[in-house]
Amino acid sequence: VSNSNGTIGDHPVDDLAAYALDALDDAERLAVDDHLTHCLACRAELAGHHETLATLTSDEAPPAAIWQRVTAGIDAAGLLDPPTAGPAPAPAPSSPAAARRPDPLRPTSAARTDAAAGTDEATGPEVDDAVGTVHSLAPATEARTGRSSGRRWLAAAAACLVAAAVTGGAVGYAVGSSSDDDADIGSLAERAADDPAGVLATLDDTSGQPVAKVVADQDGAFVVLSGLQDLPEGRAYQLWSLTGPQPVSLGMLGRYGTNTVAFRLPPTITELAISVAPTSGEVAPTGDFSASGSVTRS
Amino acid sequence: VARGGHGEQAWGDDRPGDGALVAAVGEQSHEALGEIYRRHGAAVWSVAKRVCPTAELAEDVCEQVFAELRSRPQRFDPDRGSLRAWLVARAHSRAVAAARSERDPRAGSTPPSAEVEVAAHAGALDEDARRAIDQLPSVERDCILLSYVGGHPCGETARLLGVPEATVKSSIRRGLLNLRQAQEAEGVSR
Repeated sequence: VSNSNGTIGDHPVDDLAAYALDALDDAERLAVDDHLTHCLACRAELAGHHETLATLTSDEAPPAAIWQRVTAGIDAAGLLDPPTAGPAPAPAPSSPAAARRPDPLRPTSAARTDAAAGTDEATGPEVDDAVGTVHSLAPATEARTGRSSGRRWLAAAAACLVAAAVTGGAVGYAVGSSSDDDADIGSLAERAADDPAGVLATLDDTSGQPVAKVVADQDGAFVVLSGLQDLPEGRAYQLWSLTGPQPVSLGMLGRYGTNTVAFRLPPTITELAISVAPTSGEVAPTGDFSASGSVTRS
Repeated sequence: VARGGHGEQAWGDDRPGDGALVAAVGEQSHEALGEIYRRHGAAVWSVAKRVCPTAELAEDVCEQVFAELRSRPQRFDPDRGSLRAWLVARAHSRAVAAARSERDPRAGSTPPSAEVEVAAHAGALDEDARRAIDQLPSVERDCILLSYVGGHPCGETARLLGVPEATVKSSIRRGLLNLRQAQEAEGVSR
């Protein structure tokens, strides 16, 4: 039994139990996180709590739409049939959400794995923080708002943004260079660039050469990279907001130096930069920026 | 268990363990991800649905959990417990975050009493889980249901129940240990 401080010896056992239920406030949670990094006994106790809680689940089959959305980012060639989850056969996609999303996510490269990644190891708390951040940056309602049928990919992109961002803090998605969406997104970006008010920022490299433009119109914001070097396999460009005390990842831009990538540009952002990162992205930029620039809004 | 699901066809009778499946997901095996979803998708869904205020949010949470597994399978450490427990914990964290961000402080000017809320949360559990929870002393049951299903931080639970926050935390721990003990006594293994 714990003492009046909720501890046994140095072990914050009562807080640990509340932690397992996600019922601590931020400061308490961080303290437990800190303790867990060096306490084997508490890690074991926490694992036990999680096992206990996992027995309180039930076996109701999830809506089929979920599996479709999970696999939406996997190349079409590798798509699976929906597996039957749990003992009940998977139901037809008849949930309200599925009905609202007649074409939830086209099975294209719209949600690449590298866009869905973002942070490094041991980021449990950070990921959860990202949930809050993302909900404030990209309200769920907005992510779910479809446009005309000809812009289905945008709705898909928005859904991916939420998924990608929540997965690891990256708020962007790369458009594959082999996808036929390229023409779509490229022409949108071109059209946006044609509108003088459409170019929001030019990002220059360290020698002052323009290597990226940020363009936006009513369809969304795009980074148009041109003239950056293609990166080797395993590396990718990462877009950052430098507005605020710390750089915030806006998403991965892929490894090609000439490329167009859609991303969400929150209205408060005024400074942008691009770094070179591992494909999975970084929580904070570790090297020099390859390019940077300011956003101007008319 | 239903026969003929994709995973079972893919893996036949020689079913790999969850750890091997996660390793295969790390090698980009979509079949492995499908098999994991087949095994644990319902558990993840049930937690997300219980905690999230809307089915739409629950679907988002469910998707995020498996997207995370797909993109960062190394986050699962088999030495720290089962895959199912890890997935359920990830789903719960995300569901609580989603539920709290959706909660409108202006809405619900007359929130239900703790008693009503506890009963509602108990009703969301399936029969086995409810029976297990109901065997706990009432303060342990109430603290676990308000925190785990209701998504309330300990401070809120303390206010709802009119007990000190320290009591909430120690009750949660005692309740979890009692549940574990009861499950071990019954030989529950899932």
